[in-house]
Amino acid sequence: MSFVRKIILFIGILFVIGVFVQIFRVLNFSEFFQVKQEYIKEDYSPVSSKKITKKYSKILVINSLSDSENSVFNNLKKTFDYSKINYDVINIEEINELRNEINKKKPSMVLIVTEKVDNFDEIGIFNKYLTKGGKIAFLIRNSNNIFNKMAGISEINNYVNTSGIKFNIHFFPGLTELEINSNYLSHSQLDVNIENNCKVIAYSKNNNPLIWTHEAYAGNILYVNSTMFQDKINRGLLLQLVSFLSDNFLTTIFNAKLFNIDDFPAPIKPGQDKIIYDYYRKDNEYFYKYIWWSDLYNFKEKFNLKLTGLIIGIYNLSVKIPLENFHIKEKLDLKFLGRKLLETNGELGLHGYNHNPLAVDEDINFKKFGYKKWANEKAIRNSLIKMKHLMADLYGHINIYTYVPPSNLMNTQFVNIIKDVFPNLKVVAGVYTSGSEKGELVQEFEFVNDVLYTPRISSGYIYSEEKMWQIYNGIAHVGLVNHFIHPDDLLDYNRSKNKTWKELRENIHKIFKKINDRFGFIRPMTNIEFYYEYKKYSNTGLFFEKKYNGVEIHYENFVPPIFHLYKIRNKTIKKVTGGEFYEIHRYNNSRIYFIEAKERDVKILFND
Amino acid sequence: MFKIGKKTYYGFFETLVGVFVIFYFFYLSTPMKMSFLNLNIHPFLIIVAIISIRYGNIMGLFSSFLSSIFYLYAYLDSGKDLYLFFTDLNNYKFPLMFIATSIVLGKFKENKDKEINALKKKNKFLENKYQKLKEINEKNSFIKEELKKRIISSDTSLYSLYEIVNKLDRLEIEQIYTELMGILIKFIKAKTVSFFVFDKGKNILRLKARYGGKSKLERSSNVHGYQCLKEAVLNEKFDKNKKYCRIGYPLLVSPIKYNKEIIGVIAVEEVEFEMLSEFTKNLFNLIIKCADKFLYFAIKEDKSLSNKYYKNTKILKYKYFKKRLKEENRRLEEYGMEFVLFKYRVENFNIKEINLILKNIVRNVDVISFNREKSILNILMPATPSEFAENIEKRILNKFDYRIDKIK
Repeated sequence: MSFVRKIILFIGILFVIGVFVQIFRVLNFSEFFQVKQEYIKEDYSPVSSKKITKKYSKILVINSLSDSENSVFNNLKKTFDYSKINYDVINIEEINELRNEINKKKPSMVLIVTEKVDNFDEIGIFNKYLTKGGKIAFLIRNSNNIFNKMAGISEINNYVNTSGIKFNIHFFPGLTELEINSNYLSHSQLDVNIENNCKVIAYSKNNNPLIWTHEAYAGNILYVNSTMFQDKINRGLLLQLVSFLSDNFLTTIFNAKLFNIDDFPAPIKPGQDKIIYDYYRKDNEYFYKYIWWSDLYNFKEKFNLKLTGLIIGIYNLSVKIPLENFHIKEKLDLKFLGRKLLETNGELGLHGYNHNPLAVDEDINFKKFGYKKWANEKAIRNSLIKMKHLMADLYGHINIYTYVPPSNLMNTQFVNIIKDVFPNLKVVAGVYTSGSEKGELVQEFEFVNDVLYTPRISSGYIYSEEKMWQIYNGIAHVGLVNHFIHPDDLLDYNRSKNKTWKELRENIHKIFKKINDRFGFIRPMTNIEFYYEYKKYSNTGLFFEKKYNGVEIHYENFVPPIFHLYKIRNKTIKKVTGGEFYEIHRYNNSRIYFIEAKERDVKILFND
Repeated sequence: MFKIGKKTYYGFFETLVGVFVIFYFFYLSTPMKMSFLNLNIHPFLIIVAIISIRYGNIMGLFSSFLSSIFYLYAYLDSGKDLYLFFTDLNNYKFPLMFIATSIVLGKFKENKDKEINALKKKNKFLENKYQKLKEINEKNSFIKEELKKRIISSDTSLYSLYEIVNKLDRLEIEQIYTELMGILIKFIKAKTVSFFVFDKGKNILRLKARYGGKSKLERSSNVHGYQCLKEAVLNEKFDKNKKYCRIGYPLLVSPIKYNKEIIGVIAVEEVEFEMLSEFTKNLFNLIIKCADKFLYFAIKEDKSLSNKYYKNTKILKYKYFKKRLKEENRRLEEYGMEFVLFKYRVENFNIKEINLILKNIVRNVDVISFNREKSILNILMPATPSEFAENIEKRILNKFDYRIDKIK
């Protein structure tokens, strides 16, 4: 090509580029690049079974009038409520009612949840119940010797404080495989000697019998020599112990797996961090955009997860009007990472304008965390509006459904402001168990003004038996995994325990591999998807009825599907009509089945 | 103007089919749709490579753009973000790979084609050259063979010529002329040859013998009539006509000398086409020189025979005349050279009278003979067509006042 032709070609290309630039300037192409986050609510009509009777069996829970703040009782209530287990509550001081309930109504099980039983002396009520094959569980140790014989205790010495747990019988996948030798699980135990015919289910770290069963008369006793069920994290074990005692036990589960990423998307810390650069020879931006995200995407795919990211607009301490504007470079980070998240059908939730928790006055310990208290509600509102505009600018039409408070700290009165600015808000997610931090948002699964509190049960990348204890308890209780991480855990020495990204990645893979290997049926969802699933679930009533060679389940306000774990002893399931089933665990003569109910009446038929 | 050829249509068709088949099997018909976006090596890349290699840059670019459009469609259909397509290298690297592949391989193909075309042109050029060389070689071989023949291997070879020329040594003048004629016809493939006798007193050339009927030279002409003859006679210059194609001009002219005196001219007016060469000229020259030598001796011997003519006359004795006539008959037979012979019974005139009467009638090339025994006068006119005979005879009879009788 001659020189003149080259020049003409070059000018031609410049001209074409110029034309395109002008076209892009004049026309608004940005709408082609906008994304949406709009959850389309499923249209469904609940149906109710026409076979609901009052003949379903119940569990009798015995508390004490003098134990009104009984956390074991509260935990048991929550445990049964979430699992849709029918129960009646009676106080141990109400002897006549107790006698009536036990001997006439014939509960499927009697659960004693109080330690305030020192004055109880009507042991005959329980003995009679046991002679008829009754099952009694002591879910907290007590020092009343009147129960010693039935519980298989030969001698009680003093109270001892112990910790840890190791199981003798593996009655629930994952959970009973763990052996905790740290101080994580603390107990106040009785220093006891138990009879030889007791079957020990678990020991504490110092080999004290922690949980055992004892056959008394024709019945069966389960004794928990601990105060461990005062902690809500142990609700899964609590439920499965009750199930263990029973010959036939149906629990209802959420069957959901949620994965939250706090501070994602967020501005990427500029420059290079040693722990990244030494390993990858890349700066932070490259690492987070192309290595961290890529690994997380593969992790999500491998373990069948749906991600919910919680956006932070800027890392500053701006708490007064005028609030600092977002930085151009950081906006590009937010745009890139947020769109990557949305591309995976993940959910974009809100973490905040900055990482200052929505708190004023003395709501939280600002000094400890290095936060600043917000000047006033107007500043909080303005920060949220600023975030709304930012998201519209970066992404397009984004409905915010989830709010997660920074550091899980907030004053819940500000949820209304969030809802004002983001009217589609459905989920506020704090934590499930408390670190006893002031202002920490510790939650139960509950609706508050049509906002579902969805506490996260576990967090972090690093595998530990303690973390698995939290996770397995969530599964054993409600079939829920609700885990959260921070992208910048890697950069924090304490949170990462100075591990490299490779090590952290291997750790979190180990956690979810164990979950998936044992509970592959758990459904992945985002927070908003969980909201609607939970709504259906919470409105559903369940009635469980034993029949000849089988059981029937009848539903009220049923929206399929509903999921159960069904434990049965000495029998196997032959067929389930109105649903599907498969066995997930087997121990001794017992089996645990996963059941998916698809119709309002489900019949479970046993093999002969 | 860009011309759309048949190959271009094939390229379009192959690209459309290839891209669609891949899109169908790797995207539309598979449940693993997402994996289509990250296939390594991407099947679109293979299609682009094949099309580029087969059809070059333009079609390669077309296939890369088409592949990119389908790829983008699959990307958007998978629910992915258009913004990220243009900002994340992991996404836009595929269209870039398609385009880069089409450019590189297309260029490769075009360079290859260009090289092939250049080589074809070179090849054609070499073939032409080879053809020419082959022709030249054939000519050279032919020439070589011809030369070989000329030198030794045929009856027209130089060796043969040498043999023939040597035979002239034993011949008389007229026989030499006849043989010379034969030699020229045979060796330089002369088609028209004329022998002129130079009449120095009158500066006239008179035709003595001629072979071939297409001569443009007159039978009798002044030396100045033809430049080439003039050169030959006056300047004793051997000439070769450089303007071969000029009709009416002798090709080869040479004087015939006796004792440094021009006694005649020999002119070749036409030769076979293939004999138009420098060799012919040299050969002609050589032949004439040889002939000159033998003519010299023949003339010398002829002159030494004083009793050949009747004393003080130009009337040949009959026994010599018979030889001469025999020679003319041979020329007639072998070369078609016409002559006219008049026979008269002469009884009233003696030899001197006859000589005197005919002196001004016959040319110096004509031969007069008298048979005393039978009193018969013979007049031989070489190189004379028979149509002239009647007029000549009238003139002869007139000179003799019709006192001689013609013998038929």
